[in-house]
Amino acid sequence: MLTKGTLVYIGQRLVLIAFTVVAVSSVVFLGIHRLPGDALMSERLRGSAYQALLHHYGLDRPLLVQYWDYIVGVVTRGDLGESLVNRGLHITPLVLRELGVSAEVGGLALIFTIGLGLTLGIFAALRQNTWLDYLLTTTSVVGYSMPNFVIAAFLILIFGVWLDNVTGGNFYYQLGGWRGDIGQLWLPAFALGFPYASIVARLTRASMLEVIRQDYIRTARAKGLTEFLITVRHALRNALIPVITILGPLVIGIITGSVVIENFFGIPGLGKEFAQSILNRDYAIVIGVFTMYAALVGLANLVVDLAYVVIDPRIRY
Amino acid sequence: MTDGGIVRAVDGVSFDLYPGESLGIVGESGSGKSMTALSILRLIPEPGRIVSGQVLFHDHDLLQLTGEEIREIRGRDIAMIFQDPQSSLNPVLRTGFQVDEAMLAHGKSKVEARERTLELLKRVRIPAPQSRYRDFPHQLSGGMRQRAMIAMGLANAPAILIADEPTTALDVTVQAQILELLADLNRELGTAIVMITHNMGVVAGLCTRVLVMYAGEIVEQGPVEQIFENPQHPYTWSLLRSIPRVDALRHERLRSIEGIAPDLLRPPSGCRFHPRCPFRIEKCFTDEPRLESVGADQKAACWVTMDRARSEMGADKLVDIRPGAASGVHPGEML
Amino acid sequence: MATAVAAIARPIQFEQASLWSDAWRRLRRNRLALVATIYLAVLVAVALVSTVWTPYRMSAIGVTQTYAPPSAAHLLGADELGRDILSRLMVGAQVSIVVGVGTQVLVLIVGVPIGLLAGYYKGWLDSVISFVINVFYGIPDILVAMILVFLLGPSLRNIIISIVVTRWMDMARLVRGQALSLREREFVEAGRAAGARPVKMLFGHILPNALGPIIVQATFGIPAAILFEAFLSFLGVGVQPPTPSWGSMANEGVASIQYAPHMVIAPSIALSLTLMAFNFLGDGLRDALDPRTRR
Repeated sequence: MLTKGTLVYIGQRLVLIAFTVVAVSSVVFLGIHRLPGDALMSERLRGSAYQALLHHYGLDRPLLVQYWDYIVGVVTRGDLGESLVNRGLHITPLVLRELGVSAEVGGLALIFTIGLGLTLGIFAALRQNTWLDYLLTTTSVVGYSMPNFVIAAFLILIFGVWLDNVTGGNFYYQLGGWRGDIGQLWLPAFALGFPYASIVARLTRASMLEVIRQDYIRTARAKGLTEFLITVRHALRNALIPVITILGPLVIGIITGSVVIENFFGIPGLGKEFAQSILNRDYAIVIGVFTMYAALVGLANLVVDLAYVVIDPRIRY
Repeated sequence: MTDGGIVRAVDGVSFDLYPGESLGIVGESGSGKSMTALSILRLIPEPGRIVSGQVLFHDHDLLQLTGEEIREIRGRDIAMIFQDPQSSLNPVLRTGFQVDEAMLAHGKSKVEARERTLELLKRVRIPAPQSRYRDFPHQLSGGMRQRAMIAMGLANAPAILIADEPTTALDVTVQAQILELLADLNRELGTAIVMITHNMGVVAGLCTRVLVMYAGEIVEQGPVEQIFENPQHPYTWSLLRSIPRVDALRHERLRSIEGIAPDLLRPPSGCRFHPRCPFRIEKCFTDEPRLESVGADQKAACWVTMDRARSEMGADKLVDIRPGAASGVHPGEML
Repeated sequence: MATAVAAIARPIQFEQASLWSDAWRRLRRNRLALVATIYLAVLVAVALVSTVWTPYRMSAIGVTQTYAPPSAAHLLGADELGRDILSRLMVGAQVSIVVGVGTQVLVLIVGVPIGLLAGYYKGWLDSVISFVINVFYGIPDILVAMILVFLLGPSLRNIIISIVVTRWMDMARLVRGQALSLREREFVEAGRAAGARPVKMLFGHILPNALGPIIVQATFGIPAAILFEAFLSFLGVGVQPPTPSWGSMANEGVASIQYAPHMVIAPSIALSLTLMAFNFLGDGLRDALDPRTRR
C-alpha cells in the first residue's frame, strides 16, 4: 500500500499545496494592500506618529519588497506577521491557537456527520421502501436544505427557550469563556454537521443499494456467510468508495460552515477571527488566517485522496 | 411479481440428480435454467419467490430449513459458482481470502483455511499460488479468476457443485481449459456437477445427462448421447440443428429458430413452443404436453415428437426449419 | 459521403426529441418536484409583486411597536425597528432569486465554454484548464468571497461576482466530464469524419447531449448560491441595509431569539423552504433526465 509510487504522489501533492497556498495568499496580499485606507487610518493619527507606525510595520516600503519579506517570513520562519489593530500581537501563535479551537468543533461535527450519516444510510438501504427508508430520504433533503445557522437557531429555540424550564438553560451553548467541553460543543457541532450528515446518509443509501445488487454479494451468500458479514465485510467496503469522493468537499464545507457557526456562537476559532478581522480591517490577520485555511483545505484534499488508496485496492498512484 | 403481473420463471420443473454425475441444463436466456439453479440454494433475488415445491437433499427439504440451516448447506454441501468471475468476486478483498472465507464460514480456522486454499489453488492449476493468494481479483486474468471461483466452490468438498454458465464470459481457449478442469475434478473428487449453459457444445463435452428447458419448463431430458443422436423434442432438434458445422456445405443457410423467446408474463397457450415449432398440430395450440417417456431413459414433452415428424412430415427434408418456409405450407398442417 | 453522414446525424435529433418529452412525462409524475415548482412559482410571483407593492414600505421604521409578534396588522410581526417582517421578507425574495438565478446564468456563460474546450480538445489546453480548476478548488470559497465582497464593496452585483468566481468550477468540471465522454461516441466521430467545424461540433453535437446534466447542475447551483448569499449576509458582508436579505434578517433575529422568536423564524423558514424546493426540483429533474437512476 505504501509503495514508492504513493510516496512520490504525496510528495507531488505537498508541493502543489505549497504552491497553491503561496500563490493564493500572494494574490490576497497584493490585492488587499492596494486598498485605499487601512487599519492604521482608524487610529486617526497624523504626521510623524503615523509615519512611525507605518515604519514599524514596514508599510512604507515598496509593495514588492513587503511582499518578498512576507513570503520569506512565512516559508522560513512560519511568521505571519503582526496584527495591525492589536499592536504586538503576533499572528502565528494566535492563528495556531484558534486552529485548535476550530478543529475541536469541526472535528466533532465531522465525527457526527460521518457516524450518523453512514448509520442511517446503511439502515435505509437495508430496509428499502419501508417507512424508515421514506422517512430518511425526505428528511435528508430537509436536512441539507437548511442553512446551518437556521438549524442552530432552531436548536437554541427548542433547548434554550421553549424547554428552558426543563433544561434550566444548561443544555445549550453557554457563552462566556471557551472551555471546549461537550456542553459547549455539542450544539454548534450538531448544527455544523447536520446538513452534511444528511448528504452522507443519502449517498450511503444510494451506494449501498447499488452494491447489494452486485454479483459478488450473491457469491458471498452462496458461500454460506451470515447476513451480518455480508453487509459489513463485503457490501460496506465497496459502498464507502463513492462516499469518500465527497469527503473532500464535505470537509471544506465544514470548514466554511464553521465561519458562520463560530460567529453565531462566539466561539474563538479561526472563522470568527477571520470575520472580525475583515470588519476591523486588520489585513495582516486576514491574510494570515486565509493562508492557514488554504493550507488546511489542501491537506484535507490530500488526506481524502489517500483514503481512496486505503479503501480501494484497485487505486494506486 | 412485476409491475405487469406474475412471471413464472420456472413452472413445474422436477428432476433428480444422482451422486457424482454431471448434469447439464440447457436453454436460451429466459428459459429458467438459472432460476432453477438459484432456487436450490434459495438464492432467488427479490422480488422473486419460490412459490411451491420441494428440494430434497439427503432426505431434507431445503425449502423448509431455517435461515441458519440453509446457510450451513450453502458452500459446504452444495456450492455454486457463477458466470462472470470479474463481477462475482469482491474487488476490494484479496482473492485468497475470498476462497478462505468459504471455509471460515463453516468452522475452519484461519490457518487451516489458508493451507487448504493454497492446495486448492494448485489443484485448479493456478500457477504460483502463493503470490496469487495475495492478489486482488483485478490482478488476475479471466481464466484464473474462474479457477479461483472453482476453488472457492470446492473448498469444503461439497456433494454438488452448481456451475451457472461458468465459461460464457471467457475466451474460447480458456473455456476449453475450464471445462477440462471441471471434468477432471468431477472424476477425481466424485462431486456432482450441475452445468447450466446455453451452449450445446459444452454439454456434449462435459455432461452425462442433460435437461433441455424452454420458457420455464423442461421439454426434454435424458442421457447426452441419446439426446444428441435422437432428439425427440422439436426445440432440442432445432437447437442441435442450428449449430454451425465445419463440414456444412457453403451454400447452406444458417438455420435459426424463427421467432423470439416468449413473454413469460403471457406465455403462449398450449405448448409454449408452438409459435416457433415447425411441426405443430392443432392440439399443440390448446393442450400443454407433459413429459412422457420416448425411449430408454429419455423423456420429452411433445404431442408430435421428432420420430413422428420425420416419418409423417418429412422433417429431414426441410432445408431450413422456419415454419412453412420450405414448401409454403406448414408441415403440421398436412396432418 | 455527405448523405451517409447526414443519415447518421438525423437519428440523434430524434433521440433528442423523445428524450425531452420522455423526461417531461417522468417529471410530471414526481409529486415532490411538482409541489416544489408550484412553490417556486408562487415565490417568483411574490418577488415580482414586491417590486411594486408590499403591505408596508420595507424600510418604514416604527410602523408599529418594536418586536411586535404576529398579528392581524402584521402577519409575521415586526422587527427591532418596528419594520413589518412580511414586507421585508417579500423584498428579500427578490434578493434571493436574483442571486440564485444571476449566479447560475454567469456560471453557465463562464463554465460551459471552458468545460467544453477542456473536454473536447484535451491535450495541453485541458491540462492548463484542469490545473486552474484544481487550484480554484483548493481555495475556501466563503473566505475568498468575503474578501472579494469586502474589497469591492458589498453590493448585490459584487456578491454575485464573488459567488461566480468561487463556484464556476463546478459547472466547468461537469461539462468537461461530459465532453470527455461524449467525444468518444460514434456520432462525434461521424461528424468529424464529415469535416464538421469544431464550433459546430461543440455547440451542435456535444452541447445538446450534455444539456441534461448541465440543467441539473444549474438547478442545484441556485440553492447553493442562495445559501452562500445567506451566509454572507448573516456574517454581515452581504447586501447592506436597508435592503433586506433573508440571511441578514435571520442574523438580526438571533439576538432577540428569547423574546421575539418570530424575527428569526420567518426568514429561516423562507430560506429552508426555498432551498428545499430547489433541491426537490433538482432531484426530480435529475431522475427525469437520467433514466438509469431509479430510487
